[in-house]
Amino acid sequence: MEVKIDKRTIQRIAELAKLSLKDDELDSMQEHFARMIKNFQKLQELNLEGVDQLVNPHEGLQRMREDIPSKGVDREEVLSAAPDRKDHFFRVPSPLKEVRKKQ
Amino acid sequence: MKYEAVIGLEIHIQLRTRTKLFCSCPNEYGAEPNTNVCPVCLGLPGALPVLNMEAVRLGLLAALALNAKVYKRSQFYRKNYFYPDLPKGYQITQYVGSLATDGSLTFEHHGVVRTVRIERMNIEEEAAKSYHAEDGTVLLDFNRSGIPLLETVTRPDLRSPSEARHFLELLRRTMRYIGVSSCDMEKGELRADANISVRPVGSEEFGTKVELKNLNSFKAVEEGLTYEYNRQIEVLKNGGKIIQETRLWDEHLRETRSMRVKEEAHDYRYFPEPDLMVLELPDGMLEEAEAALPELPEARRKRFISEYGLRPDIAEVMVQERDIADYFEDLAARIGDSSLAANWISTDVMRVMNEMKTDIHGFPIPIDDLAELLKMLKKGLITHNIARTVFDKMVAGEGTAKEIIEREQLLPLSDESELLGFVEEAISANPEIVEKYRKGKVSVIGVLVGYVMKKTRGKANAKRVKELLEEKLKA
Repeated sequence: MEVKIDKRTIQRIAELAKLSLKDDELDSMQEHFARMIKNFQKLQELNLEGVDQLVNPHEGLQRMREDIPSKGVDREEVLSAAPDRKDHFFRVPSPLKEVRKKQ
Repeated sequence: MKYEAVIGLEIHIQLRTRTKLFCSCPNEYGAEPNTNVCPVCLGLPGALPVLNMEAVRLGLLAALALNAKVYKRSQFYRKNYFYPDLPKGYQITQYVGSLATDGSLTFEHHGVVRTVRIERMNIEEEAAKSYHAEDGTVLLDFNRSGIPLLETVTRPDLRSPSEARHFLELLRRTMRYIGVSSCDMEKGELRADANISVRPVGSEEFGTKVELKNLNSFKAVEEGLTYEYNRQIEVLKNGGKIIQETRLWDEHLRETRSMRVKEEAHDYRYFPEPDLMVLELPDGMLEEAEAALPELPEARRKRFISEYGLRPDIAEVMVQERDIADYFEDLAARIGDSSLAANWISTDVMRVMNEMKTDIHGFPIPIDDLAELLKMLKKGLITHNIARTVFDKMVAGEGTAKEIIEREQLLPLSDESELLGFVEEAISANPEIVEKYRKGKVSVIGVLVGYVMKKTRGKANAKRVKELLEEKLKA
């Protein structure tokens, strides 16, 4: 099965990742993607009948922890590392405004 | 044409653990902002999640209570999207490989037995809490980030807004019974979004659905869905088409409105969370959860009707809270009279709890003392009125039933001659009433009974007073 990655698909993937790419960057991404897809197509030639899906390359199962609380990190230390704050809160720009600007 | 609603709910239940889902920060409501945080729940690079076993256990209990099929193996996924309350850029949730699927909850709605199927139940992490400041910025508190949620999705099996509300109330009650969540909607511990469409009654096809958000109370669920149901019928009747969209319920304007958010790419690009291994339930965990499952509210309601002969409406009140149901069974056994116990709990005990804004554990009369009072009432040692008076004094902390009755000399007048004296007094003091009675208006006898009751401060047996009055008046 031949999968073609066109420029619009690259554009959409970039938007989902909140990346804005220039035209020449889109072109170079298209080349990268084409190479990756080609590699996956090679993999798809393998006969995987009867082989389970590999979810995680590490062996073993989930280890769980007991429900015992412990003190987190110091609030001042964390807040002082943030780009912006107000009182004891992290402050960020409104996500809605961003949408409005784009429209 | 008659229309019916087709409703499905997507519910988020905050699990009552001591710590968060993937880190040991306390899971508590109302702490100072950003005090229960660590690199994991702040989404700092390199921090690794470690699954809380208690969240899994509570999820299992909930799944069993809803008769769901539990999977020995399940898997966590990353759901990718950008929002300020989610600093990692993805939410850890379950996707393919849920904790449980194919559950159901059966209940009686207006006398009709209804079964709502549960599609899936997933464990996932809560996002941070955002506050929208007046200047348009957003303030974030990460205490809530990473609190365990149980996402519970129903099939579109609900057929009216009131049924949806009833279902959600029973779901809440069930979750509280099994102790997996307090489900306080005001604290956001139980949240519901709804999908609703309408179709002509009898049709098998689904109409175009609308997603309804911001249903923050049971009232909002019912009112928001009712508004949307009527709106959609109106659109169809006028030859219009329903647009598939997300709408918000506005509690103040009492209407739903389109979110009008730019239709952004809706592609969460799920993939298995590489930081977490496959979750395989440890041996015995499922069996332990099965053993820990108490009798569920709907089963208990039915048993209260069949075993104790309670009226359906009273049984409904008795099973509202597990603690109340336990209290009822305890009290009924002590006094040997289940309807007397249920009547007092549903009226006087609950009135006092409301007034004092407390639950049954904060109810001021010890169960022994209340049982003693009701036993005296049952034996006919005191009248109902006296029992009420004594009850109020017990609530006020004036002593036990026996102490109060002795101190205030509240035992009933059993001396017939003393009682007759009051009866004669009632007749001679109310000549007009007596005349009306003799002319055939027998209902006025109530006035004379009331006179005697007042004079004896409620200590007379009203039934006996009436008999004595009738004898005297006929003579």
